Amino acid sequence: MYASADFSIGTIEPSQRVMGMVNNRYSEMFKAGNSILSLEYPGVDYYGGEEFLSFISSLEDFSKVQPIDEKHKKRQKEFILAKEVDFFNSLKSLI
Amino acid sequence: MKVLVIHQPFPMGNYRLMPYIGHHLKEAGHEVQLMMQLNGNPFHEEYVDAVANQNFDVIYYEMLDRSTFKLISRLNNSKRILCYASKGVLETFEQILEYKGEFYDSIITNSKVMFDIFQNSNIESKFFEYYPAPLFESEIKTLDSYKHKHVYLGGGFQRLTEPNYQLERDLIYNNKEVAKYGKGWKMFLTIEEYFLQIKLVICMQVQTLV
Repeated sequence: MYASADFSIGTIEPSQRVMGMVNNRYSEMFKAGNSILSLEYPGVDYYGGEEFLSFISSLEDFSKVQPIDEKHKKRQKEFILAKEVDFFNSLKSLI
Repeated sequence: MKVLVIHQPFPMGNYRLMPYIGHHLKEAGHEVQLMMQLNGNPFHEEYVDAVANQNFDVIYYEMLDRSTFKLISRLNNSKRILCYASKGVLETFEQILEYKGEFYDSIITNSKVMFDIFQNSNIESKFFEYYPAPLFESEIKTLDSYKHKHVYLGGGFQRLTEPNYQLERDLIYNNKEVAKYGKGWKMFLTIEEYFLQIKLVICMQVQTLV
């Protein structure tokens, strides 16, 4: 679904924002490789992911965003794959 | 290592993620088995014995239902690793500290706030920034039925009325230009939609495990 649409939209739950989390849908959207809109939440740390997000805070913002190009998509996928490696390294160190 | 990965049934949140993680652990050389959480169902002593007799070195899971946590509390010969990304059956995130040695031995979390608390409480813990996306490259395809300008995947439920979700309502939930998918938007399914859903789940589970 994400790969088929022009833009996918990401949100982070209020309870997740308070606890310093990024919603797992962002990982899926990054990996699917399409253009991502994110609602603008002040104070959220996207751990580098903000480079690949277009932030929106009003309906007017929808018409201002542009789809990302192939080079950008490639870097976006590389970004999330590196984060996936980080996750498995952390888990394996506990195991 | 012999690893047990506990997952939720479809359509609960991690029904696909946990087998995906199990797959990667298997690729890393571990012997991995999957088990579906009990979802509140009671269990007998034989069930505890059956799991304990497998002598898993590690059990990995996210927040569970109370019945499965009761089972986990009996499996203290295995290293129990909890991925703490939601408070689940607890009232607050911090309450998890009271269950060390019962619900878990070690923690992996995507909450920077909780990670600092675990570290200060001398609980073995690791922090991660992003969840793995449980998608294999071969599964990422473009489908005409999903060719929308804007899509949103997420639950509806209480978010349609709670004050905390006003921005989401303005930009997504009440925006007819956004195609919405996920649980909570549609209360009733047709017979055809139900069976399509089941068919999709079976396909995805088989793909994940092959």
